[in-house]
Amino acid sequence: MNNFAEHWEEAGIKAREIALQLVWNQWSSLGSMARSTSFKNKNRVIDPESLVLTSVALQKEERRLTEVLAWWAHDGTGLLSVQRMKKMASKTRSNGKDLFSEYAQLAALCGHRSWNNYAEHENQPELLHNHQKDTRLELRGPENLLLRLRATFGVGAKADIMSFLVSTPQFSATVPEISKYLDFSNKAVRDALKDMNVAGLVRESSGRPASYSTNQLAWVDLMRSKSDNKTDHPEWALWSAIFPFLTSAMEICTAAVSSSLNSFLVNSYARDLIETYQYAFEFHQIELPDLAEYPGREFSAAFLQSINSLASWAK
Amino acid sequence: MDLTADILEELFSALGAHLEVASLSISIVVVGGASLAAGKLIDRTTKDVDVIAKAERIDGNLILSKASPVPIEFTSAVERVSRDYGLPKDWLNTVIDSQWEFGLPPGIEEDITWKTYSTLTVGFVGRKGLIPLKLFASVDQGPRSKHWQDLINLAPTDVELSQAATWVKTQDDGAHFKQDVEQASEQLRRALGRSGN
Repeated sequence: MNNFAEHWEEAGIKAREIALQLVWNQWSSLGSMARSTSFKNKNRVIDPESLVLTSVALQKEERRLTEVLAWWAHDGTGLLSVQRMKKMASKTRSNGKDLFSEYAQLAALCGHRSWNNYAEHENQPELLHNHQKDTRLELRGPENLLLRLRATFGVGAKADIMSFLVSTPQFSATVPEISKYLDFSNKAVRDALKDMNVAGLVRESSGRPASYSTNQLAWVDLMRSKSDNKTDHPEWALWSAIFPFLTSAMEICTAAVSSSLNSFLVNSYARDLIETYQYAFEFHQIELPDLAEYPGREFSAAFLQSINSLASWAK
Repeated sequence: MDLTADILEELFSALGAHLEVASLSISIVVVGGASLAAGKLIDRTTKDVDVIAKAERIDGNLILSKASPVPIEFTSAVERVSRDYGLPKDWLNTVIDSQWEFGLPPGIEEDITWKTYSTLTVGFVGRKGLIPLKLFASVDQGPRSKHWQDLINLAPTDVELSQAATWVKTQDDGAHFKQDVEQASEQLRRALGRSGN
């Protein structure tokens, strides 16, 4: 096996490992019977649509995720945004639409009517029998900030924007930034911020473009549970970029190792992937190699480095 | 980036792979430094690839036509290779296409070496086309140009040079142009260590 093939194999294994650790970590934070993993940082705010789509994608890798998804379809679907998940699925590299309709089928079978129109798959009743009936949804801790606000105020742009403003390490953000990071349209974000500004819950900067912020500490105090450590502060994480990056990386690496794509295409697609999600690496200050130093088929080394940097951040 | 014969081989292979994904089958004809390097006529590098024509076979006959316009899929694939290898966007271009206004050297299609890269076929023009084109460029840009040096390295025979000069003279109606071509030919003969006419 040459060096390039080894790079793809190693990168694929690592991407899979990170993705699985992250989803199990997040499911355990939601109260599922999933065991927590060795990943320590649990203050990163869970993005439920990203988590569900990624878990559906990873079912082939780990069948136990099927049980968790069945549980969530029963107990958690009401906290999901159909439209946001649909939009996120449409941006996924290959089979996002299938992942969305697979979950929609599950949600529809659990009686969530708003998902009926999107359920295109055959019935999968066995999934529902498998669900963890003894598990209770528990929304505690900083990582559940977004879901707690949705549970309180309803599923919509305002709860999500407030979660973002409370937890973003940048403290403030412009409308285009919020739209990009939360997968809402500029108009939806602008309309929501207008109301939130009127209500005095967000501040608008005087500069142009205007940026928006909120009193992060006051919100963190308000949301703190008795069991939370006082130093715990929610951190926004771009799961809507990190998860599709990882699942797409797994696909590309599998294609490279199996030689179902030639080496020119594999390297080119891997470069596409890094470029597409570069903003997430920058947001989280995850170090990326200088891509220009890895022309053509040498890119596998840069790709492996990027996955390794992501792994360090994820832990 | 200086494009060697090996790098050109890599770039055409990458381009062919992307064109296959785009379901585009296309044949192009290349002249200039890329043809000299990839065709192993001269051991040199080039900065870009000059595409002078598209090619197709109709009833067994090779038909050349202007290189531009190229299909959008071709442009996209060229841009993708440019990005992947850190090359300028015009690393492969059809600027020399303007040569069609006054015609291509006669018999150019008889001296092309074809190579296939997936759904991309590249024709590298040989001496029969390159010597006239290089002589034309040398008359225009003088003996300090890379074209002049290429001609020296190609070392055309007297017959090749004479045929090339005959064609070059048809390329410009200027009052002194024919004389310029004669002078350049003579200067080249001397540079190649041959006596004048």
